Amino acid sequence: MAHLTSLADIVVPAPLPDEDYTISLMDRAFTFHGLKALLGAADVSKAGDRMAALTAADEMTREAARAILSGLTLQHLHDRPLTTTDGRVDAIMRVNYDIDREAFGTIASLTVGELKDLLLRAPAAEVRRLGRGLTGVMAAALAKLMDVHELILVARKAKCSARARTLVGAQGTLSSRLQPNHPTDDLSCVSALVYTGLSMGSGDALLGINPSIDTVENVTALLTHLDRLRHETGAPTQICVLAHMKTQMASLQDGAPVEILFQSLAGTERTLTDEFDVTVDLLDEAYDLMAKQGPLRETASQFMYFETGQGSELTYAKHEGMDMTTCEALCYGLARRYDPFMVNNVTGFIGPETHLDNVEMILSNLQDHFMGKLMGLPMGMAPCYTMHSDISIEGHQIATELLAAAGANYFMDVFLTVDRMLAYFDTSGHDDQTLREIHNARPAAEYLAWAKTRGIFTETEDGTIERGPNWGNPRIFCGSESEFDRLLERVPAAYGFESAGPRPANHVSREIRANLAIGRQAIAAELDEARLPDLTFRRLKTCAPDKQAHLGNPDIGAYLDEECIASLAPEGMDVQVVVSDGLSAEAIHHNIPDLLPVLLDGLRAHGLSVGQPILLPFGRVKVAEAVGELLEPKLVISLIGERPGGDARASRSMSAYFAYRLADDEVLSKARAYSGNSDMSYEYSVISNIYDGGLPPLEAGSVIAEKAVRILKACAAGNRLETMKTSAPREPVLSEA
Amino acid sequence: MTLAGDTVLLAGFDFGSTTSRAMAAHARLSLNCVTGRMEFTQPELCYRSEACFTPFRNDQQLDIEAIGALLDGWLDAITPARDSIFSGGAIVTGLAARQDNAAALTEAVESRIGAAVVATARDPMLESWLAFMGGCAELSRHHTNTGVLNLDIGGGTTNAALGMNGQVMAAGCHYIGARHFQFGSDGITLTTLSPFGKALCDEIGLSLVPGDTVSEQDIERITHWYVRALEDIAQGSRASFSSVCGALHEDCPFTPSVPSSTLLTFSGGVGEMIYAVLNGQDLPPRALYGDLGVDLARGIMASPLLSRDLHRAVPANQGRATVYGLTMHSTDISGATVFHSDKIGLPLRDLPILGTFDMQTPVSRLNNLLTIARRHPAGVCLRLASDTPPNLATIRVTGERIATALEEVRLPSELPLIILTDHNIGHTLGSYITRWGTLPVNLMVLDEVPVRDARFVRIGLPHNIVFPVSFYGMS
Repeated sequence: MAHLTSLADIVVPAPLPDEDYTISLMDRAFTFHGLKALLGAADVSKAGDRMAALTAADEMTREAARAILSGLTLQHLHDRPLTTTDGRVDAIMRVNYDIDREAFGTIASLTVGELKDLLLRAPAAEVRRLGRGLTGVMAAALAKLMDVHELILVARKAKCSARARTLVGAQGTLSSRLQPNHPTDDLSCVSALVYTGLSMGSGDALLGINPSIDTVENVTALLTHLDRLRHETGAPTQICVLAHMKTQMASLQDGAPVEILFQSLAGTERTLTDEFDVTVDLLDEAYDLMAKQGPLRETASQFMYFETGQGSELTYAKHEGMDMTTCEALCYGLARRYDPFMVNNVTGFIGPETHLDNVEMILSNLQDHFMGKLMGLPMGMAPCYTMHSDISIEGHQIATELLAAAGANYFMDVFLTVDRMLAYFDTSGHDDQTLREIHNARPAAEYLAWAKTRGIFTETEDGTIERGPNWGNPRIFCGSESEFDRLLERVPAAYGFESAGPRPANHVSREIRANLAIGRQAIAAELDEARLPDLTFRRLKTCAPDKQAHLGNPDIGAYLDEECIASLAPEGMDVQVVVSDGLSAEAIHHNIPDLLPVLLDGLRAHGLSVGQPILLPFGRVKVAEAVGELLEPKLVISLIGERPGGDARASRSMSAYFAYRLADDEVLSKARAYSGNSDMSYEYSVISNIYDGGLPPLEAGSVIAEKAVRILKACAAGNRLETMKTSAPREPVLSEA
Repeated sequence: MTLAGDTVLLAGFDFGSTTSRAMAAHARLSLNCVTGRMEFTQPELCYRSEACFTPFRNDQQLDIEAIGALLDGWLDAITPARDSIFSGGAIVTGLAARQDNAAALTEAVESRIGAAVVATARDPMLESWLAFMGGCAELSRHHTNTGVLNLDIGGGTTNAALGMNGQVMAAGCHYIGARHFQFGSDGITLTTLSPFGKALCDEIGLSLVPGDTVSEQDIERITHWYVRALEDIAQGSRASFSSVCGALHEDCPFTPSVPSSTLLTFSGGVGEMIYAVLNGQDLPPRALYGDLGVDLARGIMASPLLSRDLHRAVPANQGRATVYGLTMHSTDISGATVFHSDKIGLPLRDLPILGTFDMQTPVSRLNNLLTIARRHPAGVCLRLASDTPPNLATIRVTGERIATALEEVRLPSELPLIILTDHNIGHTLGSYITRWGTLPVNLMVLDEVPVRDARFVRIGLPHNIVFPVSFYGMS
């Protein structure tokens, strides 16, 4: 059991004014004002930090910062806690000071550079001991000085394990979290993916679903299903549904088998509280609840699971002036408080605004793994990417090889690398087995023993673990051939089950890659008005000058360029339609020709005035507000391409966002009172999944029109509108409008 | 524990010639991301009654009071809140459906749970369809290259259905069943002889009346006729049904082309006995059920033709195939974006399906259909068939054609008009038909509903935004 020190009892030095750090290299003098600037400049250049103006301008500046950082003592770092922009030590920084004071005492006088050398020289046990004496900022400082070999070498020494039903992270093991996600939490799909993963030797760390619907009922249903699968297959592992921790706590109190409790963490209190709706107090409460009522309280030494990832604080603009690596290290200081069973980071998940390319993603993952391990966490890794970044499957595989060499406790198993719910790309069961074979690793011992009985693995006379006759055959868990076929009918992007050794068979790989290529093409395609025949638009521009800028900086696509702003004046229409490529121009090319005429027919038939539709390349959802402020319609409907996932057809999926302008004072005050947000000036509704395989564009046109009518009638959008709907006896129909 | 919000309760009730059964299941209503359609998923049986003898008052009458008590017992066991049942079916089959008061049984069901459950009697093709779907739907999906022919043999009828890939292609019904000859506790004294049994005796030269002791040799002759008739059915042949006696036994002819590769399966009470024997159990004595079920099972197993696939293909649910079919397959569900007027009062029962039209149907033909519709104040249903997905132009034109026909015919604005279509266009088509809500018509366009060859349809109360649709009067 972890001892949760009261926040008030954690000693944190009083903040000191920022000081200048100065150094000369050759004939150039370099000055960094304050630790945040120094830490930012010392890191490798990454897109997120560049956007926050924290990176070094050039290589010399970076090395100058590193040289200064190398010379600062740990006591110096200790005595200057990084503060929020308004000068406070936030709760997360405070928790980071809950360190092993004895260990810190032995190294406080060392410089960061000296500590780095010590860690490289020290035996594993000493590395682990010293790590307990470090705050997140100290670990981040070290990470910025380490090269690739060093990040791998020290992390490997710091490897630590954690125990629930299985012992994950023991030397010589490489485990996996099976992630059977589905866009609508379809239990048949979950079963098929769990069977498939187990047959590949995956899931010894966890069977864990990211739910699409975060309700107690749904989370309970998913947990119950996973529990049943675990019992039926006999696989020794543990289960988790990665909903918000409040939902999981309610599910646990409802009797659901919340064996491992999950929460995403952030490195600043404002991000954690405002965006994740979590406080340290709530985390403490959850830990206590699990210790008292968790189903594994008698079995597991650890039962918390945290996920982190570089860049979340920055994308919410709540990073308090700190770079992404430092914020990430502070997450680990928070996670350490709860002696978790699992921690993994998903650096790369957000997109090119935080990590533009392979090198940025790979280095960040190595840094994160190093910092987490050094601080005593049982780190697993989920290096990942989205299709609108410049990260490739090859870069992703290089990251996994390096992280496996560094001793990552576990990776994800996302079937054929395509997450069907979150539309991103992660490691697969094939990848996990390949890594085990290359790095001579095996699953957790308890799981391995079971897998051998199922013919998934065999053990040779000399003790070598090999793939068994049933490896990769999910049908071994089904009562009949037809049962698995029935389950498969619900699995999107199931390109095949044939393997070649630990890899997918070539024809399966080709299909995966072809779908990826189609998705990438959908993003790369330019919005082409010629492919929208018989439609008349007025063409405007955002502040994004080109595709690369549009993908790399989401903010600029939310604003109109100066010339457009000057050309627009209030029109006072009821509705203004804006068509933007967003992240898939192909979605617009394939849907708008059918959708828009029906939508316009519907809006006009209801007597609504409609401005001439706007075609807006390189647009983001929020550009609706920029248009709204200039043209002053009551409602802006933004038709925009969605980020493609791994399925070729779904790369043509778009959404309709309804931005209802809260122009009326009474409505504005109602909306603000409902949301609790005193800054809001628009309410949003959305209809998504518009494409031939979801809501077809012809049908979507009238559905969007009806929604627009409802919004305008009710003078409300979003949850406030849906709440009104719930209280109404019947949904309003068009004929009433 | 709390059920997920998209979970619904389904129920089925099967009143057969010999036995009656009930079943209930929870299932989730969700979008299949592969097909893009709403479906029932993850069915979990939550109640399965024991088979009990169907209560008869006498040879002509069902015991409605006893059946009511039986129903109440089942419903109490299924749910404390009967209105929580989303959909399902009740069917009176075989000899039970031929009783004078079979309609009273369906009324007994409807008076209790009529808002959710379709109750039908004498719907032989539906019986065949349900038995196939309840027993062989998955099997036929697995054997994609061969069809599956299921013979559901109960007390009064044999319901044949040939299907492929989860869909029934042809169905038939014959009065071949266990209880045309009923025996006393000794298993040899004839107690009841149905009109069909009497005709068969005449055909094969037996003179039997209730009270007679029937020799094993005579039973073998009777069984032999039945088995030969089943062999003909299994080959899509009507040879056994050309005589007067044969014709009497043929309720709905079954004449599809049946390739020899077709897998043959059995369900119903007789089917259940056959597969029990294959699992190592002994056939019970004839006296146990007091009918020819055991003899039919034995005869089928002795027939090289009928027994050829017994070890290769075993259907699900067997004796419970019909009730499982009722529970899980008697209801289709609409898509998630349908069009409906606010005036539509649900449930809508016994809506006749007047006909089918397509995107090219002229206004004159639509006028004819809607003129007939005027004679059905309780509402009517039309099917929109289209082999290819409609496009923007055809939807606009079709919508306007129907709007024009509605105006010309002056369909009463209160008369419920339901249009069913397989394509995901319900909301948009309904919008164009009503000229975006300005045409006074009580219209509902339900999309993503499979086209079934039936005479009636029932539209139930929605769960969230999805409507249950049940077909009956299958032809």
